[in-house]
Amino acid sequence: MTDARTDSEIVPRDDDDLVRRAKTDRAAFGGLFDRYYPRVARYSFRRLADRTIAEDVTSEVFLQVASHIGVFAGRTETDFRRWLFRIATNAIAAHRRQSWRRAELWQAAAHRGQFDRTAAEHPRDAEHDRLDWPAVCAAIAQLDEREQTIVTLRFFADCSHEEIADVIGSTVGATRTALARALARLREKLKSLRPAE
Amino acid sequence: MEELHDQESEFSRLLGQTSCGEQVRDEHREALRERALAAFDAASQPAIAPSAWKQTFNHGREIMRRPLPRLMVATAASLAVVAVWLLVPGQQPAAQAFNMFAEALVDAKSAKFQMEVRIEGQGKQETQSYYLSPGRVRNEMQGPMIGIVSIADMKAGKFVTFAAKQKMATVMNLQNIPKEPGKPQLNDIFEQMRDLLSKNRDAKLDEFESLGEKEIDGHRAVGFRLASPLQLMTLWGDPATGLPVLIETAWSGIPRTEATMSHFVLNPNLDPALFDTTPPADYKVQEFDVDASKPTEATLVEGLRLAADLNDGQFLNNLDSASMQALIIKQVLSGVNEKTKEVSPELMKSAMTVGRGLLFALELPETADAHYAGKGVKRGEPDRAIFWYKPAGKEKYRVIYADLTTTEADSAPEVAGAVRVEKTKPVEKEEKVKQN
Repeated sequence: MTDARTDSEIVPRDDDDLVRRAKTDRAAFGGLFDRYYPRVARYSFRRLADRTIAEDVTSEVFLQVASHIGVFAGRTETDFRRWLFRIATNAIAAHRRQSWRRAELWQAAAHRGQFDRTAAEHPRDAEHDRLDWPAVCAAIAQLDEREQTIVTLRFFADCSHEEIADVIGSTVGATRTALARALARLREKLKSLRPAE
Repeated sequence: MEELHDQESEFSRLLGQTSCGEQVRDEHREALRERALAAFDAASQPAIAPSAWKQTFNHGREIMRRPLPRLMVATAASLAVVAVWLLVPGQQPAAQAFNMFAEALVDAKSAKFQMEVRIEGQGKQETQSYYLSPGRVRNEMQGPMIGIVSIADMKAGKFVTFAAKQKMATVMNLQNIPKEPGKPQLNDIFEQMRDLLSKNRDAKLDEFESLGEKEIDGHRAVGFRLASPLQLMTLWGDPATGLPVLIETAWSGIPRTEATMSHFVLNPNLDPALFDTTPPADYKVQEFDVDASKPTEATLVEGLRLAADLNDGQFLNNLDSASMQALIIKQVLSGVNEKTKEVSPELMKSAMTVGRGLLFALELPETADAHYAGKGVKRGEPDRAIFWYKPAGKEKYRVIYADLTTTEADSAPEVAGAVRVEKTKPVEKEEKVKQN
């Protein structure tokens, strides 16, 4: 396994000055928005499995950030990232509680065929593994809420273990353990979904 | 660690083969960008300079130093025992621990919230509570005591309890409330709390105890514990909104009281008539005055004298809430007028004085090294020290003897069985979830 994404690879270079300026500087806040919109949108989409809902939640997150960044206490981009994804995670959790049950949401999305299989873009891998996103989606949906949060923050929001621990209010060690357990379960679930060779 | 690394690599590879069509829509991004910038502008105008967290915390401590709220603990607890207990025979008393309203909601325009009060040895009492500036609080008892309403009007110096079923009202007139000219008005306590909560990550932890974070009713909340000599307050708030989620308070009061406030609604429209302290015309009214001045050593001496008088000439076994409560209940039961079901005003005053004396002792800091040694001692016994403490900034101890004379001593008396006067301790210390 040589393609593992280490923390240093998946966490973009910090720009602490941008965060500090964004508290009072409109242009700097716009810069932060540009930098983080794709990540939050992607995280929301992967968690909610519905583009319209994900965009609504993403909007809610950034409007909340815009309203409160003036009193945000953090000074570094790491602080900001943790704050941002806590807000996003809470918003997603709130939406999920208010709307569909988790399984229904994921299952419905998977069965509606919203997800574009792009195996054609990876013909060699697709031929090898023959896994598509609905299958991954269905497997993730079978994890518990906390595990789903950890997995999606890690792989779809590019959060480090430390940041995930902060977002979910746990320790780094416990987060790593939970992530390893979740990935082991995912592996088993995905294995069962693969066609026999 | 290596295993997790491999697992992550494997899952990353699998994900690399899939796509869920998650590409962001430029139209949404651009539209949201405009809205977010507009929200940023709106939040920046008018520019409200956020007060420093340190100032906020100092304000919080200032609130807790104020004599009146602390006095109200003793007032509420003592008079709950004396008055409410009688108004509802067979029911458990409930402390009107409304001083926390003043502390938590000072200068908020209005608020509505739920409260649960737990009194040592008496179970819990739930209230629906309302606050209206300036200084008015209404508690509507829930459960078995429904129909009992207490209203405090701090500005008017009134604390009344209405019992609808019995058509009785107890009116307490708070006198000698200390004036504090020059003290800053503690405006915008909720804004300060917002500021404190939102700034917690940069706060210096030597000023207060950070409890980390936990989830409360779906809110990610950050917590702080603030301690004063008489109470321990834990604030849990939502850092995203800066609003309080849960406020827990424990007093080493009379008796020990713990309270939890939750389900806050801030600035609702409240009818001022809700806080009218005028008893209905057909209610039987019992009215008396309560000394609300700051207790002193002289208050403690007088309280010890009264307590001994009420206890067959013998000092209380312990200078604590349980002993206090037992004494007062005993006296109330024996002193009630069978015909009118009223307690004599003298007894009420005595109970308050005893309570305020205890309050003085409980307020002494740890450095005062306060001790009580009155167990089994008769009033008037010569050369028998029953209480001593070291005043702030003084080298010598102040000693109170069983004949209620006082003197100074270079060192603490050596008396067998002397017990240190204990301060509030948390019953259940919350687990530190995370510390920044």
